[in-house]
Amino acid sequence: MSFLEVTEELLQGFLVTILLFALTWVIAVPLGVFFCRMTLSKFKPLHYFMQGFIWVIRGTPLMLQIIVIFYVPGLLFAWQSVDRFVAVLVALSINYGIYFSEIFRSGYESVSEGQKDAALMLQFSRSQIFTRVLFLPILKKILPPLSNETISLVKDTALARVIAISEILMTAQKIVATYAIIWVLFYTGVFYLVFNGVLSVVLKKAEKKLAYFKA
Amino acid sequence: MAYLEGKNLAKSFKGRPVLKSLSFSMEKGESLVIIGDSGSGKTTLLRMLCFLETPDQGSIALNGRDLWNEKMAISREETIAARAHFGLVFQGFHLFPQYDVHDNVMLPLKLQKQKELKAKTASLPFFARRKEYREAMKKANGEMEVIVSGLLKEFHLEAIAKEFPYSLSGGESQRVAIARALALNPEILCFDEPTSALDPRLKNEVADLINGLKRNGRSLIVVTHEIAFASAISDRIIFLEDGMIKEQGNSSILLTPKSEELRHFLSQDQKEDNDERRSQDQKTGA
Repeated sequence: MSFLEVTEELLQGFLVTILLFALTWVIAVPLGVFFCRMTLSKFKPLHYFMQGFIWVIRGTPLMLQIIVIFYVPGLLFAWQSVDRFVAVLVALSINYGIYFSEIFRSGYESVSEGQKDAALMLQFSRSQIFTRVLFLPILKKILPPLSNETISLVKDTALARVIAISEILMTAQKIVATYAIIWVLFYTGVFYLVFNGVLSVVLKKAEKKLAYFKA
Repeated sequence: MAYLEGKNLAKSFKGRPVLKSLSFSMEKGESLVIIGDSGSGKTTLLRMLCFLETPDQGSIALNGRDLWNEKMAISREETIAARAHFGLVFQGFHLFPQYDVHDNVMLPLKLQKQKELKAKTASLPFFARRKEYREAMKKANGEMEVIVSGLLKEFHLEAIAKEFPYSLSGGESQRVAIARALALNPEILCFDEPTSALDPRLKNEVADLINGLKRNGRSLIVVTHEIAFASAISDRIIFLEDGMIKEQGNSSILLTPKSEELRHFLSQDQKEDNDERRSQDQKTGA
């Protein structure tokens, strides 16, 4: 198999990887905000429910979560099995939504109560307090851990192969198994490295943009 | 009729009483200083007066009108309206780190104006509303800029108007916090331990600043545990101990304390002052 043919095959797999990553990120961030809001709820049952949910999601392998979401609805309720891509998307979104929510929570809790009190004394409305006072300091605090999780997410999309989604790693594995060529694996690594490199640069730029103040 | 009056104010946190049935009053243009040891309830009282905490019982009246009493179910809007009478300079200043000095002072004015205009134009159709809002905001910007420039000038902040809070000294942060609190022109300006983070020279500067505000007729409430500072700025003093007012009156109570608790507090403060002076002398090698 020629280099060009391998590249073409891997690019097709990589498109799936990018699509999975982008959709998960777009869903997991608002989901994380929602989970975070629920965790911070003063309504105790909701708070404890979220604590339990976080414990389950963080305490079990992502691979297991993908398998459960793909197989269990069909086995338990005799439903038509969930679309593979949707199953992985749901599993990744919930898993990363939980991790993001914990990052958002720690960011929110790290901003001093004094800032909120100062804003209250200055007659700011609740939405103004969040958007004009808290948002940027929180963003500055959460950006480094959020960057780490974002890069982890790119790599975790490779777990989609467990339910036979042809993302880049599965594509590479098929080529290696069929044509017995090893370099394809290293070449696959280059795709990840380049993509994560670009992401790192973008995220570092965002961090630098917020370096003008100290929160 | 007193200008500001608190009657039988009490507050507990998780069943632990912090303030026990306090009553006091102050006149317009006066400076009321609340003194007492750490944990005596000074800051809680100040936060209650600023409606950052709701009392468990009693009443708070301004100009003879109850802002709050225990029979009132106060809504969020009413709390915001009650809070508008007060400005508060926090112990840790709590400047907004992402805004420079100018914008820290400007922001309250800007957001207040935005709220006003949004309410005023709410009934208009979408595009007319946007146009009206934009034009009114443009006009208001000039007026707000005049107010901010005035405050920056009054508190000698013009030279550091473009600096961010992290680069300011304690004294500068203090002045920015005062200018910001005055931006909305509250009737009563409150200070929580305004000298706690400052060296002796800056303490005198803050005392001068507060006396300047007093001369301009501003009503002030100041929480402090420093006697010299309290006597330099006070018209009326409340001494708190264990959540209760043990003594109140004009600054003469510091010279002739009646209660054993105040005598003890004053002697402790004197001792701390002497220790501080001795360590300063040692540092300077005098």
